[in-house]
Amino acid sequence: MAHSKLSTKHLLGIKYITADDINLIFQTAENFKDVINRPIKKVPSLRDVTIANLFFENSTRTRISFELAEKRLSADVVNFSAASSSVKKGETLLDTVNNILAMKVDMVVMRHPAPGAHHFLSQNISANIINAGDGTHEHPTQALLDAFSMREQLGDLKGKKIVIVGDVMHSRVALSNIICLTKLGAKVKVCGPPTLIPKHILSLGVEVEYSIKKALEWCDVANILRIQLERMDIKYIPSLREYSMYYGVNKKLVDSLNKKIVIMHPGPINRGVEISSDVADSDQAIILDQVENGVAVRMAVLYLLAGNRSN
Amino acid sequence: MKYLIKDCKIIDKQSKLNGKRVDILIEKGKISDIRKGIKDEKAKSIKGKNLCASVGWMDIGTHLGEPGYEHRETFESLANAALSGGYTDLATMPQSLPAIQSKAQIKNLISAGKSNGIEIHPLGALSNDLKGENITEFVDMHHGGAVGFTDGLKTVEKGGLLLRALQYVKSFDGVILHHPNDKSLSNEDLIHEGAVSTSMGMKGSPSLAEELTVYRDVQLNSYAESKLCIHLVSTSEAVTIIKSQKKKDAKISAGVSYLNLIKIDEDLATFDTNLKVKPLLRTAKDKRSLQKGLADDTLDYISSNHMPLETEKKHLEFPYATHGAIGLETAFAALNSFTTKNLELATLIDKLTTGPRNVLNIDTPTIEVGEMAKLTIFDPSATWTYEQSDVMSTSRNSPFIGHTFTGKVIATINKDKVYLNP
Repeated sequence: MAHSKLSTKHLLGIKYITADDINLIFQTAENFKDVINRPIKKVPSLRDVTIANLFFENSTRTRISFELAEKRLSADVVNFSAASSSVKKGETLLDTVNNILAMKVDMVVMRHPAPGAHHFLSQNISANIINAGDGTHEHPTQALLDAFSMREQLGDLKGKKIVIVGDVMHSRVALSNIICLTKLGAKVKVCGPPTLIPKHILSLGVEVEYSIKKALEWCDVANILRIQLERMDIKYIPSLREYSMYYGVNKKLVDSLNKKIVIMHPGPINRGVEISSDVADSDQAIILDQVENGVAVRMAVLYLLAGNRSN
Repeated sequence: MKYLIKDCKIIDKQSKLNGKRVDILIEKGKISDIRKGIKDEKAKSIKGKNLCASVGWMDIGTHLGEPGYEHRETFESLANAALSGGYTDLATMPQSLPAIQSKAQIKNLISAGKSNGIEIHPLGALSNDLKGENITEFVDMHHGGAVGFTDGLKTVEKGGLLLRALQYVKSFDGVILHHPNDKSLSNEDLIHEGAVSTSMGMKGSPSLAEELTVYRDVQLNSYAESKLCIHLVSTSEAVTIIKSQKKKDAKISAGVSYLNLIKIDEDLATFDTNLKVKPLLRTAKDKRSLQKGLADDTLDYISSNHMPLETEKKHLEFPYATHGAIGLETAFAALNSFTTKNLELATLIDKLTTGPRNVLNIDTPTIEVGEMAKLTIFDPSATWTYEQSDVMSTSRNSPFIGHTFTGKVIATINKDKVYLNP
């Protein structure tokens, strides 16, 4: 009998949930994916639940995806976004959030530039907290939707080979993906310039491959990361031109492989940098499926966590 | 007022009485009698189950509040925190506002210590305004009572400046204290680089950032033929470098923060900002090497690394919190609770008494009749809980609030100041 409840009150990161939790989220997301493909896309599951979306960092797709997921569950939604961190403006994170919670909010979806910001919040407020990205730490719902999308293509991920390409160092998507995929039994390699691969990455149970060609030849799925220039305080690569030439995934490279691999990208895409347009728009790429699944997976997470509310 | 310490074991490697159980009578700030079975009805007696007595403890690297940061610590709260933790003597960092860099400021600190019942041995700034550019007036400050010169936990980036400082103090046999950490490698010192930093998604500071600086510093000292104290090392390799260098250069000394002997990077998994400290908490292997380094005298002293900070600097998201924790009140209790499997009590006490004094050319008092009373009385088997309401420091940034310890300071005696813990 599968579990029917998550083991946790918050979704702070993939590392704090179990493989059973992940599978429960997937099962629930499958049901919600059916729902959002019906003519009437809305269910009343979270009626009377108020959710605040707090975005202390820019976001388009994650914010919209969460908001849609919330609305399709009939939750009441408030949005807060600050282009820069509230700390820089003078108000502390805790004060900002407490002000919003004073308006009787049940759940908080937050994106914040500081690793561990959600931990800090969870120790200080009572609402359920969902991490929509905390700096270079985790982005758990992205990892869940990525794994869910891979599962749709390949079935059970146990033993499947996944390569994560690019700026692993600055990527919360990479870290959450690695933790999620290894929990599900997949084999994971990372590939990118050595300055963008953390020195101790092997401790996460992954392998490192510096050659993009070899990495792609090995894998079933390539998840290609965005080069995050905004997170680089110093230059880790000499130029985008060189990166694109030696780590960019283009049609010629993909066609030279002896099998058809699945291409993924968490978005937003730097077309012509880490991935060429003809690959991004090809039938091997499931980038838009990822976006669609994002709504279903986030509905599942919100629905299951709402079931674990303290009151 | 007379005080009679009943049935206490002397822990003092230098004393003939080391290891003996005796009574000690204190009168007018002096030790007036030491023997078994002293009876004096007029004296207030200090008793305990398993009392020990050592020379009063000394801390190197205590951060001040005054002047400039009175909201973090006043001289009074600093003295109470020190005495409550067993310290009679503090060598204080120059990081106040303004920085301590003149003879008048040095004299003022010494006098502020005296009026609050402790002895402050000020460390003067190594560079003007701690900017890392030019040396300060070492000789004048030395004449005012400065015991050494340092930029605190701020590393001197320019080797040339550190060399000039090492050369300049030679005229009065002074000592330079330097904290080793290469800023260009240390990624803002968020966390030690390793498996934990990788899984927490933070760029870590590699041990290399410390090791390279230690290597540079010992070479500079060897060239200058001066006296260098490497203040607070945290890595296994740094211990190895110092151990090997000490065989060639007897004027090298080094210290370690007590937290590095107890906590490691894994303890940061919950993003506890009270464990965000400099030097960084490293691995279990590093911790073990530091403990061994104390046992074999590669490391000379244990520092409380006391750094009072207001809540607004600590109750924040991890990357935004300021480094530092208060430590005077808990250093001994935590060491006694967590390290005694690997470190003997006598070693711990040595590194809190003679070790730091030798580094700074300060005579260690003796426990003998006729000597001034400078004593710490403690019970290594007593248990107590460090409650928020008990904190003596003005600041509350301790990782141990609410923690129960084994090992308690019972009384601290600094001449005629007798501080009794409740």
